[in-house]
Amino acid sequence: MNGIVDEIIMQLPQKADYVSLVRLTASGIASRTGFDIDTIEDIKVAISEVCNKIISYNHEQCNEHYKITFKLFPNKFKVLFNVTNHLARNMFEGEEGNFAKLIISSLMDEFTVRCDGDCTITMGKNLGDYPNE
Amino acid sequence: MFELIINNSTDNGRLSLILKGEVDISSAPEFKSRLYEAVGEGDKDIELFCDELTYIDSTGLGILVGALKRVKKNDCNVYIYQLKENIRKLFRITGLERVFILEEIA
Repeated sequence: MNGIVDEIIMQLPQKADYVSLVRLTASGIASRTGFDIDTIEDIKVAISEVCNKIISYNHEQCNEHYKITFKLFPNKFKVLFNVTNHLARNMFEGEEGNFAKLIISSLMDEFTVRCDGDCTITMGKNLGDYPNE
Repeated sequence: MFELIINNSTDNGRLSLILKGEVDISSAPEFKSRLYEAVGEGDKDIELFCDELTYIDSTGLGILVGALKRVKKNDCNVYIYQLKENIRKLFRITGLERVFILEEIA
């Protein structure tokens, strides 16, 4: 995680109404990092997929919030979601879950789910040909 | 926001639909309800024009697959026209490019 430039944290209600706001924010941050329009579109799609799964899974807890952390590096961009272990194990199940997983892993350079108690979903996109850390 | 324009009386006997805008988790419930109502028992081929569809996520793709399953029961099909490249890429990634009939021009 060396070389981090800026960190932006969003905390949102678990409501579908705000996913477009996440897309808009992700678009602005990715643009500032220097990605081209097509890559920004890919990043928006991938981030939305995780938001969708969090909201769908917790649809009875719409008064709860979830947190998205954007980490900006000189040559890359990372997005982190903190979710419960139970959610991480179930969010990519079923037909739509499988579509989401395929979409995220194809569009992003990095896609990991790490669990230590709760889980962190990390997605990363490199700028140009710079390798993953 | 999305817009779904339904034409149920085409010359070719197909159910013709124009889908515009964004289909995401917020608009998906209404999209699903309007699409499945239009598809009914699924006894017609569906043609879906998407040249003004700017965004669709896995929820929306799942809804389209649901419509396809309905019409397949009656040996009908779903023809999708004029997908933008960024959306066509999602069909490719998910393997749906081989499940639906994707064409450029009707």
